[in-house]
Amino acid sequence: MALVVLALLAAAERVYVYEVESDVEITEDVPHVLGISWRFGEQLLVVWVPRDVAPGIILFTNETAPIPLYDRKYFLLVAPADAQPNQRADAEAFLKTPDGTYPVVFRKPDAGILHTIAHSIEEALTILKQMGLQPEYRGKAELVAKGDPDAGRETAAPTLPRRPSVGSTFDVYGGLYFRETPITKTGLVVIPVRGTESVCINLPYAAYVGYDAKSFALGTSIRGGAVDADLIVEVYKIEFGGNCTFLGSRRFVLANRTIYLVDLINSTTSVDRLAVFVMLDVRSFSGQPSVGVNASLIYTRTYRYGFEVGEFAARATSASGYQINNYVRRVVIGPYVAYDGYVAQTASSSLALRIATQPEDGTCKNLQVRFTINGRSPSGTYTYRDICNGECIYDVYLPNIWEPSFQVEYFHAKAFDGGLFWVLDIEYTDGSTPYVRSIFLRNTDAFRYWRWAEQWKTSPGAIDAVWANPFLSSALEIYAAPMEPSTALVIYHGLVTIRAISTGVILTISGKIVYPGLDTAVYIKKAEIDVAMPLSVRRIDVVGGFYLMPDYQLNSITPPGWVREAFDVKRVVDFILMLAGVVGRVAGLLGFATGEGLKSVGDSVRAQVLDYYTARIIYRRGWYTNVASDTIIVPLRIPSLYGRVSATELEITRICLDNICANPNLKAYVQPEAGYLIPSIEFVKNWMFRGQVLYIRAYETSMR
Amino acid sequence: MRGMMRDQTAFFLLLVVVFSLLWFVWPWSWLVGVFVAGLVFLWSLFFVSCVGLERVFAVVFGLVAAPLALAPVVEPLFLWYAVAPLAVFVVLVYAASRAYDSLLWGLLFVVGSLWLHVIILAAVDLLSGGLLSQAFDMGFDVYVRWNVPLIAFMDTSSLYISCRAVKLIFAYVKRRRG
Repeated sequence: MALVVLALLAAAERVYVYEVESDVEITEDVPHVLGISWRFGEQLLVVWVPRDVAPGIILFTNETAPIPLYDRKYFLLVAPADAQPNQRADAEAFLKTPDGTYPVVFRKPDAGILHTIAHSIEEALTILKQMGLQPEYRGKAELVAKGDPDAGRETAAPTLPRRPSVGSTFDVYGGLYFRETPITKTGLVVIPVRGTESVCINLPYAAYVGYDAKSFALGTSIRGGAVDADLIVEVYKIEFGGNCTFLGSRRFVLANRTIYLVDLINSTTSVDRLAVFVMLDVRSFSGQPSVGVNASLIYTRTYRYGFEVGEFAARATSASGYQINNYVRRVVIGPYVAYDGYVAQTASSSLALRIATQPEDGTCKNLQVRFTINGRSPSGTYTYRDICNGECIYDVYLPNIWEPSFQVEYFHAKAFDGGLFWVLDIEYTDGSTPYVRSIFLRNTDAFRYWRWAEQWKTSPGAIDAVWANPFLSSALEIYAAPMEPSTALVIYHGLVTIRAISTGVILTISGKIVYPGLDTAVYIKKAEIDVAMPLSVRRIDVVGGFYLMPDYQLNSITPPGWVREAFDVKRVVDFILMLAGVVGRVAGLLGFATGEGLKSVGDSVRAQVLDYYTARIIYRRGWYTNVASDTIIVPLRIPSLYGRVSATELEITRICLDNICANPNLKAYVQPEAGYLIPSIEFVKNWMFRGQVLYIRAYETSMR
Repeated sequence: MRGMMRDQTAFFLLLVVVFSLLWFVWPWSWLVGVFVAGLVFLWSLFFVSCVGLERVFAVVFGLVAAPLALAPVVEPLFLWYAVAPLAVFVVLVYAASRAYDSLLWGLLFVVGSLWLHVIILAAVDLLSGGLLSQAFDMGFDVYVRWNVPLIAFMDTSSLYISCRAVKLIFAYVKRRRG
């Protein structure tokens, strides 16, 4: 270990670290100093660090914790110690440091490193050391733009979400997922893609990128030790027949919590289907490190047929009041899944909450709330006047999400395999911290967006037959505190996906009540989902029903054998008992208790027609069976969908998971049975959604 | 004697209703079997107390109800959920036969009481705008629990009235006959 550190220090390059206040926001174009030359070309390294850390409450878990808040105009810049900039270069900005002034230009990173995200300046220095650098903190610096800093740049103005319209072309965000890989040797180490199907016949472990990717970034995380390595990304073209041919590669210095831009994948190269292969060239390591790599992608897609999109909604649902009784500066709401396929310019949020604070000297001050996504990207600042009623009550709501902030954070979330959450920075307008008595989170959408439902691209007039049944799904995520958190700490987490195929619908319902303090979870016991469509639902039918087990096997939902026998016996006995007045619709307690006792022994899932257009799917867990699964898969056969020639819109109008209900009005689209498919030229169908391909085949054949 | 009988029946009525209130906090687990068994046991004692409660019936109804609680341990006993109401019915007819010295009269008493209470329940359902049938339709629900105590109260109170009414009718008929 000591030898490794000594070796690293011997080879280390001295760098200066500046704590920068900037009047320019850093985006995909990062600062470069013209004329310098070091192992990162002319590029300066950008490391985000929190501007401040303040006491906060993580709402769903009711935990208090120090919560950092980042600022897009505050970061560390790392430059070589002996930088000799070309002072006569045409600069876009100037970096004013204690060591002199550097002329700066902004462009795509020379060395591919977009930025690193650290929790503190100390952690930033550690990451730099792990990169084989010898950092020296040199104090504060300023990055001052020449002219108007916002000229020609995208400003974070609020935008109204747009529903995609047929015929439009838009950016779609997605992700690739690789397996976390332990480092046990030096030399080349492959980072395999998650999943079981190989994209390239001649190259196992490669990941499918596909057509029309305009931007590709990798995010890294190193846990359990330190690694001195290069990250190598090879890009391949997928040929007809499944062989892959090499297009090029990029080599980066591996760093923890860092995003790399891979310029080889762009609109020009991805006119062909692309694949990527990721590996490390490990020089040395210490501890027992494992390296996680994930990718964030932006695709260009054209909406042609009316069924290629779905919706995702993340809800704070039926949440109760949180008794805080503490000084609070930050409120964290989430995290929610960054569900694949987000269509740019369609994000929205109706986040709303009521904050009750203690009056100071009998008066209520004005409260300022700054909304940020993931504590990094701002989404508006609002000042609220109070309603005084023994306590100061502030009705806080987010009128609009800031799309550019959402896009950046979604992109980061995919690269780091993370989620999306809100951080609210609350303070009185005089700068003091409020004493918060309680917070009531309203039944709202925390995040909502349209999503490209599948990774494929559709062509005008015809769709490749391999996509005959694309994975068209819409999803709803629920977070809630099902009871007063001061009584017991309980979090409800649920996810419902509605997957439409041309003859029916497959519902996947997950839910569990988590008791964080006790480290236990109780699985979903009851669900009701109302599905509406503009056609008759009268002959809707549940085609079986399954538990998804932890090992991805499907267990059929059927009552225990003796219960089925008991139902047969009951049919005979009930005939006699009906004459006696023991059983019947309102016959009495004896028949009711035994009959309902028997009926609710085992799990059941059934469809109930509510009206011509609406059906309710009802799942109930039995009191005797206790299957260790939190996920139910319910294939539904809907005969009126057969033979449709245009897309059909389905809508989930109401959802109840256990006793938590929402009216999400979530849309999903059913592909028609039109004859527009052309013969397949592809052999492998690659799904954007990890793992789910595994369970399709089990029940798809039984749908007709 | 008659006054005491009435008190005993009212006592068991109260017991059934109080026990049914436990449903509000009853865990959704194999213990539901115990709840069903308890309800069947107490309801049977309540009904039999209307014609004459003897210690032997407490034992017999205990034996009838026990398999309902034991079914989660011995799965074939789930069959008993189908048969138990019939067994209770038979024992009730037997008890009533002893009271009226005739199997036919016993059968008539039990069936008459049950049907009369069904009619009362149907009338209450009609007057309450279908509240009772809604409670029955809801069945055993893991989260919605109000229906079981309501059914227990309505069922026992209407059965209390109906069995007393049938008893009066039977006494009247017997007096007329001789």
